[in-house]
Amino acid sequence: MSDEKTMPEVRTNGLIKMRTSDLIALIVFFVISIIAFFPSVRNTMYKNVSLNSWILVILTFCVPIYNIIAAYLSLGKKTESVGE
Amino acid sequence: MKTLELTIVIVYAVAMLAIGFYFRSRASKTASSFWSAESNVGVLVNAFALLATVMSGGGMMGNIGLGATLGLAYIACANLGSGAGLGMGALLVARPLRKSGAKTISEFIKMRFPNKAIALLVPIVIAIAYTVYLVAQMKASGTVGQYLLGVDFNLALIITWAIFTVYVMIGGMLAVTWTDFLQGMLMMLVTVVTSVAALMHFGGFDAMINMATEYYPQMGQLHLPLLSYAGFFFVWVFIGLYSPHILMRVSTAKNPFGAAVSLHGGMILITIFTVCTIFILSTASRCVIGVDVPDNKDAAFLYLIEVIFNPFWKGLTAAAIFAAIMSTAAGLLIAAAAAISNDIIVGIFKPDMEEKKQARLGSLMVFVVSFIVLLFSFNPPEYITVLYTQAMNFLVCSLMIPLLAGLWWRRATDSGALAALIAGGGSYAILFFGMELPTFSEMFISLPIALVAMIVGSLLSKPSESEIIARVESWHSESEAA
Repeated sequence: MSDEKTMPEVRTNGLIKMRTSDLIALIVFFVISIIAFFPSVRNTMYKNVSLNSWILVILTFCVPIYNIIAAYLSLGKKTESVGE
Repeated sequence: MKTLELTIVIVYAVAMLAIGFYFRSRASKTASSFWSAESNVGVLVNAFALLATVMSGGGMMGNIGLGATLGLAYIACANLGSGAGLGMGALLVARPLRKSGAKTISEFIKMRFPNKAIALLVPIVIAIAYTVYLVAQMKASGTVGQYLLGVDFNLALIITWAIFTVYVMIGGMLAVTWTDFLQGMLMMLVTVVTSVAALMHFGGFDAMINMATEYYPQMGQLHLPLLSYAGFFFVWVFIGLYSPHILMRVSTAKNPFGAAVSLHGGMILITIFTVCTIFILSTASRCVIGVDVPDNKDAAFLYLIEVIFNPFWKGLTAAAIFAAIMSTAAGLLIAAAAAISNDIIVGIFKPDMEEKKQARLGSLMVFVVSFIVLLFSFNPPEYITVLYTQAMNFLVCSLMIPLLAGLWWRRATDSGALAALIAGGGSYAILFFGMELPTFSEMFISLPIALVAMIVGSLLSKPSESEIIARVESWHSESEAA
């Protein structure tokens, strides 16, 4: 395997590109957590607790699970490509 | 004095000291063993250690009291924010930082930005911020000893100080990691069992929250100004993302993949811990205290324990609260000592020091820092919680942008990093001391200022040497080797 394949992609402004799965997790996390503080969301109650709290709990539980799965899958892909 | 509770706490303390002595010989071999636990810690151990490190004494007792008296959302935002910070750290920092091989954040910044002023400023900022944070933990230990065990404030403080100082001094990061792991397990066990017992006692969550809302109608609402919640949440995301004592755990992982998964695991555990402590135990505590809030809000959880548990379980709860305090204190102590010993004395003045001597120096520095903290702890400032949160904010405003730019931007230079450090930290100090802004909002102004300073400073100076740029790229290579 050539070195180029293992080295990261770099944008013209010098920023190193993130893995797509990591970028998705980052964007989803910040967008949903900001939406959770919108008035219509935070003032809605479910079981006497604000929807904001429920959303933050689900978000902080699901984002790492998604990331762990994505990390394992990418590790599997890498192992396969090394095997080939 | 409460004999059974005290006996359980003593058994727990002896176990922690035994772990310190067990790792004595391994920790004193090299600087890497002392500061990075031989970089051989598994995911599960690291995840529980992270839970114990992030959730301090406040997380176990104070937060439940705050949730019961101020409503669930306020403190849930802080807890979930700090957990989310770990996850963001896993995405943005863990892999490249682990691949860099740096033992501490200061060592990484020095490696990426080889500049004497930065090499000196970064560990000084970390050591000062963590000394303040440690004093807050010590104050909590005195209070817990007084209320839970019926011993004198200063006596509880000295005993707690002696235990964690001894095991950190002799066992280094190995002892910190394994004691944190066990402390994290104990905290989780006590929290989950107490939550189940509370749910059974009050007939389930629905019945419990309805009763608590009758006593306190705003229990589940966001009734304070929005910034109190959103600000608190995002401030803790950034503190979780950039905390040297948390990121030191990255260097203990077996490989970059393990480092990232450990941080994600820590985030999941903190979410479970938050659901139990805030959503269940705070609500249950409110059901017990009723309409009138007690003067000592921290004691709300203790009232609950009095109602639903026997002395044995109360003792175990006391041990879990001490575990929360000691694990955080140990993590902070080793990070502060590393800043002075590894990053200033060895890094700047004695770079040729033998590995074994470095480990011995580390041990000595743990004692020196801890002793200074003890002296301050006998007469702690009144608003210590506000002070340490602000100290952590100052740390984040000064150092987060240089760290992230150093990892992700090839064009970042020493001048840019220095400009960001001074502009971020300086603007934070000016805003905090010179202007009347809502609590915790300074960070939202200082971080963009630091970012602009980083970009302008870097673009106006020569690019870093090609050797450094190649090193940055290698940290992002697809290889999982450290």
